[in-house]
Amino acid sequence: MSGNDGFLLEARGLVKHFPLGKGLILSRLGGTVKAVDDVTLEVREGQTLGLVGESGCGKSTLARLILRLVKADKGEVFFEGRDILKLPHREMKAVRRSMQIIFQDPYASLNPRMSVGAIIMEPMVIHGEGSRDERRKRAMELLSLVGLQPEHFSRYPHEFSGGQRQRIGVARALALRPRLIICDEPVSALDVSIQAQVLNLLKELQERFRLTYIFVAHDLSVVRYVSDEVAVMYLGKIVERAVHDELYGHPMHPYTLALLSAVPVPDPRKERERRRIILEGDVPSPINPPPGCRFHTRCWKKQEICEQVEPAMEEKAPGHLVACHFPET
Amino acid sequence: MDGERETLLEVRNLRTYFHTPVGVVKAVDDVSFLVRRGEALAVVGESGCGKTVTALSVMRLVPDPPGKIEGGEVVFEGRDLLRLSDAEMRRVRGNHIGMIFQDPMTSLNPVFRVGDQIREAVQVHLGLSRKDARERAIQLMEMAEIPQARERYRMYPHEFSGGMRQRAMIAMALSCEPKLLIADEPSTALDVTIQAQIMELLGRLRKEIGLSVMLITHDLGVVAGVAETVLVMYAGKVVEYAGVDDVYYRSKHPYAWSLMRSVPRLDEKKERLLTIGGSPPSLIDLPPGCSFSPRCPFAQEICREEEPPLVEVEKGHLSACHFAGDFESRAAEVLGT
Repeated sequence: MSGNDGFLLEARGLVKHFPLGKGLILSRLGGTVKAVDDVTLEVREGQTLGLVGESGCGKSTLARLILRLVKADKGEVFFEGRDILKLPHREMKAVRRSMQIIFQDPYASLNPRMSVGAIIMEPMVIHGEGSRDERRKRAMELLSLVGLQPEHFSRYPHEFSGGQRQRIGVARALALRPRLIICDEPVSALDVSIQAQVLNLLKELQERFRLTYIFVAHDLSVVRYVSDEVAVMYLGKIVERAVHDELYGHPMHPYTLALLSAVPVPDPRKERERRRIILEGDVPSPINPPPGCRFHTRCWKKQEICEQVEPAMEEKAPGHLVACHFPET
Repeated sequence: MDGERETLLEVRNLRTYFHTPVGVVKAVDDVSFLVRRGEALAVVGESGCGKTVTALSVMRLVPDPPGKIEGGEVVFEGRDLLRLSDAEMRRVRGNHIGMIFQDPMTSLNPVFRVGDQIREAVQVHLGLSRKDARERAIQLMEMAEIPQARERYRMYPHEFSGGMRQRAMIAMALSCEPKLLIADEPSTALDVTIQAQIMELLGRLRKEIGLSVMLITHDLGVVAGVAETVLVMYAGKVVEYAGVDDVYYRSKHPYAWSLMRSVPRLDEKKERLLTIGGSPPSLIDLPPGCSFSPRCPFAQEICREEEPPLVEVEKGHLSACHFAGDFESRAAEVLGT
């Protein structure tokens, strides 16, 4: 983890604005949802970058921009040294083998008409990998890898519980031996006792295959468990980024501070002693985000400059970047 | 659990079954607990454990058919609610017990103004004039910390954010000054900073108007911050029932004990989480003996044969485990290895 080398993925200045409607009336209103606004991040090989934020902050859109599932308005995504946003389709398809995604809802992300085997083999079929027998063999391997049984091969998704379905999703993501997997809220639809199973599985697979994860989640406790580095998003921007102990131990951005203080801890004694920072109001709309610092409408440290000048991302401590005019020290 | 406060709600041996084409689902099977005045009780468990059906049974809101309250008593302020006529029960709902749900959007009518919906509840239950009811509704919205309540009165549910909608629901639930508020996963659909606001509000209401709260949730963090007593449910049954500290630090049931150790925590970095193998059983096809035995790391032969009764292992600490008596030392051994 030294210097600037060892990045598997680097995103520079990613921007995605969604125009509000294409109809006569809506387009005349001229609004755009600034889902992702000038985001830069790097992910080191074999590590996990946790991407946290509340709903609507743009974390899922960012994940999709990186995979080029959504077309970016601006910016670059370097994967294995090449800007994949500029690749022609044929080459992009080859790159996609190395980048996979696991979705939040294991009910919606598996085709109910396909058998589990067919679901897991589909990426191999699309990329023309192996013969029929080889694909089958690989699918069997994958099933056991994610803790399922060989007899599950010919069953259908409805026969499985949420946790097992998520394992099927993991097996499918692994089918092409990817280097990067984006996990988009992979456990938030699961029961408490099942979350731990899936989280541990993801960790084991990472160690075994030296996988790189971008882990998108709203749950800061889950992100703490899986991540090496954490980026906090607010209204389309990353406001703070640091290695995991640094971020949880010394949060510098007031939003991070408030977010951390809002998360309940399963420890009654600690809960009784905790002093919460209760943020007022809701997250403003990303259609017309506040000028200056986007957090200023809810920030208790706000000064005049915060309403006018947008704070730049600056390295305030080694490896700890924060976009705030008055960061905590 | 202190003995000083008076009992407000006592549920005894409640059984609620669902009669489905594939068999009888014992969603709530012999559940007993009580809520004292001003107390906050949390009912904890995973989806399908029967926690929501327990709450709905107290309110007598279980859809019938297929559901049916088969037996037991729900004694609220000395009256068994299960014996009341439908008209009497309607008066209890709203007037004495309020309820809020996970998704406030499904509980608000999208074509009526939020304020009018609260006003209607006030009018129906308190018999006020339209004008007085309107003023009262605005007061309630302020009590639920809805900013600019007077202006927001005229807005429609879709103009409210998720947190604001939940506040509107709380305002509606408070309209008739209930003594008990049943909150079914009130913050699960909300963002964490909004969840903190709602929990803070519930805490304040408990202090200021002496509201008792029955909180239904799967979130062990929320429970730790809010509850005084905890009822842990698994497969339709109570498996542990004790004060919050007893359940969190001195659990005497392997399910509750493992669950506490399987959640990632904000305040510590763990290398590996403890996992509970398998998944919760189907309520139609429960395993013999203790329902948790197929997933229990401590299970012995007796666990697969005999169902453990819920017994008071220590004063105020109930557990349904054959080995509840020396569970802590057994658990310590497992942790040691």
